[in-house]
Amino acid sequence: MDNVFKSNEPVTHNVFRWENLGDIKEGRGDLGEEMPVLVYRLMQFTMLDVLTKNYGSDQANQLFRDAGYLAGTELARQSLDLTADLDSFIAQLQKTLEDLKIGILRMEAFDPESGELVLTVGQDLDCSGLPITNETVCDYDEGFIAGILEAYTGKHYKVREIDCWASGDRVCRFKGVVE
Amino acid sequence: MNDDEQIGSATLSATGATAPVAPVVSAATAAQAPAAATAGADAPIMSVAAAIETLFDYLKNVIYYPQRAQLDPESLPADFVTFAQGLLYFGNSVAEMRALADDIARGRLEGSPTSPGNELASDLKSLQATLKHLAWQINQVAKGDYKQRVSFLGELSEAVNNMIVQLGERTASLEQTAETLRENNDMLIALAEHIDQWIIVLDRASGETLYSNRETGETLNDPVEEDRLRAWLIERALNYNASSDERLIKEISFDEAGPWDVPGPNRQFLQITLNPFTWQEHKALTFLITDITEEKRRREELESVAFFDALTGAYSRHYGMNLLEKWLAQGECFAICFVDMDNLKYINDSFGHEAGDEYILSVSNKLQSGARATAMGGTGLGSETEASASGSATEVPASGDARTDETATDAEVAGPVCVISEIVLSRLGGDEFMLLCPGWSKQEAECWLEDVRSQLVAESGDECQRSISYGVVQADGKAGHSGSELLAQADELMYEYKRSRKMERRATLP
Repeated sequence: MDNVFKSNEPVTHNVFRWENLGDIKEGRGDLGEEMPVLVYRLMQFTMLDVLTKNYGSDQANQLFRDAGYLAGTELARQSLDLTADLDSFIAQLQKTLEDLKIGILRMEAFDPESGELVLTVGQDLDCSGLPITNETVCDYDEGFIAGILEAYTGKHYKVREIDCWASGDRVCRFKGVVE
Repeated sequence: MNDDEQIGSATLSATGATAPVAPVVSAATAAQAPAAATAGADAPIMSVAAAIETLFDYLKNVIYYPQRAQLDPESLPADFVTFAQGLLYFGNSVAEMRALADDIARGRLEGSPTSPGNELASDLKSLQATLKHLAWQINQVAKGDYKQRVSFLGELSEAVNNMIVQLGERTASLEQTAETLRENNDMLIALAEHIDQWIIVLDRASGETLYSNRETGETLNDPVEEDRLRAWLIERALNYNASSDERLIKEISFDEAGPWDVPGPNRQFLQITLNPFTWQEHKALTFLITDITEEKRRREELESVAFFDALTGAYSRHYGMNLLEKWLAQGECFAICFVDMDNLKYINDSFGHEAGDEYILSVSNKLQSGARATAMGGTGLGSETEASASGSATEVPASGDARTDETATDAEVAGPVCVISEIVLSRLGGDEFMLLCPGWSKQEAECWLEDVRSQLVAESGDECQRSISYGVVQADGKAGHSGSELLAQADELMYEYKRSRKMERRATLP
């Protein structure tokens, strides 16, 4: 028999909804809303490992990118003023990423005509401090940034990591172009 | 490190050493490795001491003489090859780091690219990223974006953010000031555009127009005059001399001064006020031009009412008395004649006021024409020579239309003034006139008035005799009596004259 009292509740957590993130403060009354970066990376890189073994590294990276895109889009819609002018939007994005301890966003270049931009993320949640493997590993960030930019501009962005901690740099540098 | 160097390193690493650049090793390159190792084995074996010296020299060159830094690992004993490869990698990393540091030092923030994995250059690349961000930040500030902040860069963050905040506050303050100025300016422009006056500011050095609240043609009735007026204004601006003849503010009436006093339907009077000042390092001259044509017309109408008798065109009592007092104050010598028309009441009562007015006009005209003829034609009177010599012995106006512009202008400016060479006729009341005869003696005036009286009597019809009675008082230029007192004396003399005439007539009656 269906529970009519729960008819509006989510039927599955496999489909993302912002509300499904739940009431963290209530749920973690003693432990609080924060956790070590270690735990985040533990989940991320174990998941990457499993996905890579099942689908290969390219597909695994793309899946991470897609997940990042979804996260970026949702975060932008929930936490950012998408009607603000560009300068204000960049300023609030920078502050939001710092407040959420995702990383230190710094703009390096922006072409208002083409929409092309270059930005860096320092002390990146995903990669800063990783062993150097001469790889760019921030696929999730690529999608995350693309999702935010698309939510704001309404244009589809392709974001690729140029420099990464894992490739021997101290900051991750991303280049975004409008597709 | 370029591809060739990496291939070389990969070849050597295939001899058994640890490969520092393993990721670029290709299968083809790896396959060639044994042959290269064999070739190295055929070469003369370098001694250990020589190998150490070679490696030392290379390291020295890397540090001090980068251009000379060359090393061939294959020329070294096999035990030194891996170490040499490491040194080569180090040398290449240092070279890249140096190139990047040089670019950064010269402000070339795009900089030379470094090889992936060059960790020696990573901090420099981080610095490069920071500087790029700061450059972007500064550009944002330059275009007016004060919302961005630099975080986690210690004192640099504090300094830059403080600068941005202060610049933002100053810009906001300046924008507020500019907005206020803009609003004020808009108000002044609107005000200037809506006032009746034409304001034009010319550069006193070039004659260039610095400001004008309207076109020349909007001020002038006759477009033909536009170029002439503008040329006149420019000429005035170029020749303006604030220290000598020009006053701070000077008024010019175009009915006096300019080529714009053109008779006809388009006749226009402009009043121009000049105000010199310095504006944006220009010595400028402001012309405030007011069309006073209508004002002047209305003023003339009022003056005509105030200063002239509507029926006769003679001056009014008000004007005449003011002039009398003025001449006395100036110590002028002149004759004051009080003239009374005889029998006006009888004519009015018997023949109507039209006949009375006609009688008044005839007396007035005789007095005026007689005075005119006396002054211009010469009767031996004392005033004639002086008046003619002055060139300003103009006619006593017979009416408002006949009065001279010179007289009118004087009156406009200061009310009645002494035009001492003129004989002035004022109508004091219904049948009373006053004549002021400058330079005349009492006897001369009485002689002339008696002549006028005789003419009137001679021209009288049968119904009623037309004549005048008069009394003359001499103003000798000495202080003592007021105009009213002297006029009262003349009035008294007039009555004596009138009584004596009546006595004479009664004596001659049958």
